[in-house]
Amino acid sequence: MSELHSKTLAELSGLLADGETSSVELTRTLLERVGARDAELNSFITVTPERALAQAEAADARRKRGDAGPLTGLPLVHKDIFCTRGVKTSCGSRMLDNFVAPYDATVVQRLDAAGMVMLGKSNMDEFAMGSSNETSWYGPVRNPWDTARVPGGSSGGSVAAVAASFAPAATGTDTGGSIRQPAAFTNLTGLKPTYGRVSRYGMIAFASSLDQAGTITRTAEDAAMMLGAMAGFDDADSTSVDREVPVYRATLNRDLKGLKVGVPVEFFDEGLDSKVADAVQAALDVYRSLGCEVVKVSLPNLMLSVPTYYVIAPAECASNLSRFDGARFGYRCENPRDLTDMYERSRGDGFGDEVKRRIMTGTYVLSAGYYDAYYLKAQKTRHLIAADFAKAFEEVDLLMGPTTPTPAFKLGEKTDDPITMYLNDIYVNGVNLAGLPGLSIPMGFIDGLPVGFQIIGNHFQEALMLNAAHRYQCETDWHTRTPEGFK
Amino acid sequence: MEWETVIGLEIHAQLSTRSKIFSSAPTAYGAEPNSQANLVDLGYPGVLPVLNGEAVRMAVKLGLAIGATIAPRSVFARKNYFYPDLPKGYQISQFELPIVASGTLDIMLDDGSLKTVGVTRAHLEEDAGKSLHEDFQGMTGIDLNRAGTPLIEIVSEPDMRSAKEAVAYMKKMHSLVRYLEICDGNMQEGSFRCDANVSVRRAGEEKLGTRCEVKNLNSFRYIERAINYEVERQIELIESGGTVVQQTRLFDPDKGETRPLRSKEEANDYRYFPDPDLLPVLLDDAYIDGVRATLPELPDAKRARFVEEYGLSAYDATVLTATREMADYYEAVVKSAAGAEAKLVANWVMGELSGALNRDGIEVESSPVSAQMFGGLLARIADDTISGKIAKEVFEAMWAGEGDADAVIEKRGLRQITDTGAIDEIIDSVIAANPGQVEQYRSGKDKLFGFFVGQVMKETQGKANPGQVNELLKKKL
Amino acid sequence: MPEYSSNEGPLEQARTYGNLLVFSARRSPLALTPEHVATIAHLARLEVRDEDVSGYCDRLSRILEFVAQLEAVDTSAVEPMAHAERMSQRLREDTAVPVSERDLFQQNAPATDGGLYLVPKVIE
Repeated sequence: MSELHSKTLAELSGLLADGETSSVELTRTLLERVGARDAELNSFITVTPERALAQAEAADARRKRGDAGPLTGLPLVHKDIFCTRGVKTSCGSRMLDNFVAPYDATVVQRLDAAGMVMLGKSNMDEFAMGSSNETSWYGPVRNPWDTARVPGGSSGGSVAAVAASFAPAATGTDTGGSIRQPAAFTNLTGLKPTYGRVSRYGMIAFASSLDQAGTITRTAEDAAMMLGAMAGFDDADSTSVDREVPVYRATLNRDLKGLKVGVPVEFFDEGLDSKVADAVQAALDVYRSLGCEVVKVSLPNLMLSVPTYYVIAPAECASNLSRFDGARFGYRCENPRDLTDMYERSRGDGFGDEVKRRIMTGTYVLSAGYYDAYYLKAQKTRHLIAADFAKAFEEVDLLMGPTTPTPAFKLGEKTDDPITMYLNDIYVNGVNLAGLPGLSIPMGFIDGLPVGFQIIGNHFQEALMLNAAHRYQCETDWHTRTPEGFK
Repeated sequence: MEWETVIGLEIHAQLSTRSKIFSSAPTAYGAEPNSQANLVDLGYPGVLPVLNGEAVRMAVKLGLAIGATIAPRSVFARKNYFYPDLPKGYQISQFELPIVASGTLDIMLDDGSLKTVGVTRAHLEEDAGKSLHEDFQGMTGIDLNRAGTPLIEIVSEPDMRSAKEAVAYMKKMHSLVRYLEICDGNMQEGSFRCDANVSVRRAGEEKLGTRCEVKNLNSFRYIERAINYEVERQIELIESGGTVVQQTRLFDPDKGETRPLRSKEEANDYRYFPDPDLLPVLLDDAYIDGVRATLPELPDAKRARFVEEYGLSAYDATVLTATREMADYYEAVVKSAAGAEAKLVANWVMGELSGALNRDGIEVESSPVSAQMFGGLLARIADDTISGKIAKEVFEAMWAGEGDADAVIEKRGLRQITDTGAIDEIIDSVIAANPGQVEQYRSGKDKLFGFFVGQVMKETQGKANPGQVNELLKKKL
Repeated sequence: MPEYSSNEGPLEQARTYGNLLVFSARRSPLALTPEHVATIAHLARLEVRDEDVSGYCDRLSRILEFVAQLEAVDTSAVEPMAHAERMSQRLREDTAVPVSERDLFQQNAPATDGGLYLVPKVIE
C-alpha cells in the first residue's frame, strides 16, 4: 500500500470516512513534506500552515458531527491566480507581491464550503502567461520527473506539487492549455471544463473569453469529485452558465461500447514526436478494445489556432492588465515624478518581460489602423476554428489525440524564441478558442518522461470525457506512477 | 459675410438606478470618499461586471420616447485609456452597436414653430470617479464613489443652428428624462450634463467646418454662453485668416470663455473592442413591448391634449407641460377648482404660482400651496366670493401658511359684498360727498366714472363686486 | 463617449475612430522600429529601458510576423466571434448592497488620505 501522501482524493476520502486517518494528520504530513522538499521544486509561492491546520480541525469536527462530504478534510493547493481572502495573491508577479486579496474567488469559496483544506498557493507563470513556468517573478518551477526540465505552464506549481505528492490535488487555470500541457508533462490528469462551467469570479483575468478554471489530480475519478464541487452557476460572473451540474462520479464506469471517437488528422503533423504519436496509437488501441469506434476527422483550420490565440489572448490581456497602475493596489514605483512616470515605471518594473511583450502585442493589434487586420481577423479565424470543432462533433462523441508534441523540455531551452514556445501549445489552444472542455491523462513515458493523451468533448460533455478517461485508467496504470525522486 | 453655426450635443444623463450599472454598490450622491465603491468599482483583480437590468430598461424607455430603433442586439465594448479616475484602465461603453439608434426630438423655436432634431444614438456606459485637485500632501486625491454610475449618452445629429436651439434641445431632453423618471436631472450634481460640438461655415456651404468640442457643460446658461463664445472665436479666427484646429475645450464660466483642455493634445487611440466579460444584450419584442406599456404620457402628447382638452394656446400648453410635475399640478388644480375655467387656471398657475416659486426658489412639487388649496382659491373667484384682486392677497396669505382660501377669506373678512342694498348705500354717500365731480361727470367728463368706481371700492375695501358697482353707479349718475 | 464627431454618421465613425498618427496603415508589419516600440509602450504605459528596445523590436516583430499568417485566410463570409458562448447577457436586479469594507480595501493601497486614494498630481 502506498504512503498517505501519494494517495488519490478518492482513496483519502475513504480513509477519512473509515477513521483510518484524520484531516489534521494528513495535513501535517503534507505540510512537513512541503517544508522538507519544496526547495527542490519551488512549487509554492505561499504556504499557509496555520490556515490549513485550522481548516483541517474544522473538517475533522464536521466529520464528527456527521455532516462531512466526500471532499471534507482533503488537502489541496490553489494556483496563486485565485483570490484568497487574507492571503497574499500574487499571480506570480512582482506587481502583486504585496497584494492581500480582500475576498475569496468563487472557486475557493466552493471548495472551502466542501471542506477542502488549502495548504498554500502554487507558483505559476506571471499572470498565467507562459508554457514553462519560467516567467514567474518567484523563479521557475522544476519538474519532479527531471528537475532539469520544466513542469509546463502556466499551472506549473500546481502540477509540480501534485506530482511530487505535496498535495493530492490542485486547482489550475487554462487559457490556452495551461492545465492540460503541464498535466501532460507531469503524468497527471488535468481537466479544463467548458467555458462558463466554472465561475471566473475571483480568478485574476488573463484573457477573459478564454480563461477557465479546472482541476489537477492524479485520476479522472478525483477530477470528477473536484469538478462537482467547483462547477455551477455564479451570478457574479456574466459568462457563467446556468445549467445543472451532473454527478460526474456517478457515470465514471459506464460502458464505452459504440462510442465514436474522432482523431483529428491535423494532430499528426510534422511537429509531433514520433514516439508521442506511437503512444497515442497505443491509447487509441485501448479504446478500440473497450468497444469504441475510432475514425479520422479533420479540423482544417486547426493550424490557425496558435496565431489566432496570440492575437486574441494578448488583446484581452493588454486591457485586463491596465488596472495594475500603481494607484489602488499592487506595486508602485519609488518617488514617481508625475502621473505618467508612476504608470510607466510601476508597470515597467512590476511586470516581467513576457507579460510586457504580450501587453504590447495586444496594444498593437487593437490600435487604430491594425484592428481590422489583426484583431477582427483573429475573431473570424476563431469562428472558423470553432466551426470545425462543431462540425466534427456532428460525427463523433469525443475527439482524442496528443496533448503536446513532445515531452517536457529543459529549462531555458525555449526562452529565447517566443514562437517555438507558443507552438508547444498547438494541440491545446483550439479548445479554448472554441470554449470546449479538454482533458489530459497520462498515456506513457518517453525516455522516462511522461506524455499526455488529450480527450476533447463537446460543450458540457465533461461527464462523458471523465467516463472515458476513467475507463482508460481502469485498463492502464500510467497514472499510478510517481517520480523516483519524490516517492 | 454670413456665417452658419452647426451644433451637435452629446448629453450625459445619469440613470437613477439604486445600484451601479455593473456592480451592486449604491449610487447615492455625496457619501464619504470611496465608501460607495465596491471591489468591482475599484477595478480589483478578479472581479467581474454584471449588467443592471434597470439601466437597460431605462435606456429602452428613452429610445421608445424619441421614436428610435431599439437594437435587438447591442454590445458593450471597452474604451481603453489611463486616467486615475478610471480604475480599470478602460471604460465599459457601447461603440459599434448601441442600444438606441435613430430617434428624433421636436423643439419649439422662438417664433413658435417646431424643429425636429435628429438623435443619432444613445448608449449605456459607466461614469468615472472624481479627481480632487486640492492639495493632499502635494498629490491628487481619487474618489471612486461615482465610478460605475450608469450613464446614458445621447448623441444628437449636428442639427442645431444656434445656441438658443441647443439650449431648447437640452431643455427638452431634460424634461423628457424626468418625465420618464430615468434621471433626476440635477445639473449641479452633474446628473445631466453635455458636451457641445461646435463648428461654423459660410452660408450656403455644404461641407461642415472643423469642429471644437466644449466639454462638461452643466447648466443651460453655460451652454448658451459657451457656444456663443465659441462661435465668435471661430468666426474671428477664420476672418483674420486663421484656421480652426479640431480640439477639446473647456468653458470657464468666470471668464466667460473657452480654452483648450490640454496644451499638448495627445493622439487618442482608445482601442475599442467588445468586452469579453459581458455578453451581447439581446432584447426581443416582448421585452420592448413590456417597457412600452410602462411609458407615461410624453410631453408632446400632453401638450397636444392640453390644447385640445383645456382650450389652451400652444404657448401656454408648452409652458405647463415643460415638466411632468408642473403638468400634474396644473391638472390637479383644474380638477379641484370647481367652476373655474381651465384658461383661468392656466393664467393663475403661470402667473401667481410660477412667480412665487421663482421668487422663493422652490420646485412646484414642494409648493406650500398645494394644488387642492390653489383650486379652492380659484373656485372662490369663479363663484364671485372674491375678486381676482382680492384673490392675490388670499394667495399670498396661503403661501405664507395662513391656511386654505376659505379660512383666509373668513379670517380677513374678504368676502365680496354682493348685497345690492349695501352697495346702494355706499354709492349714495360717495355721490353726496363729491358734488363737484358729479357735476363735471354729468356735463360730459366720462373719464370721471373710474374715479367713482375707485371711491366705492375704497369704501368697501375692495370687497364690492366690480360688475355690480359699475351697473349701479351708471344708474345713479 | 466615443471620440468622433457627431457631425459624421455612426457607420463612418465606427470605421475611422481614433486619429493615431504614428502608424501608417500598412497591412503587413515586417519589422517594428524603435519608434513603434516607444509608441506602443507609451500607449500601454510601460517603461522600456533603452537597452531593452532592440530586444522588444526583434521579438515583437517576430510575433507579429507569425500572427500575420492569418491574413492569407479568406474570411469574407465569416462573422467575428467575440465569445465562446451564444447566450444573452443576463440582467441583474437593481438591488443596492452597502459597501462596508473600505478600510480593508485600502490596506492594499500605496497611498491614501481621508479615504481618498492618492496619486501624483494630475496636470491638466
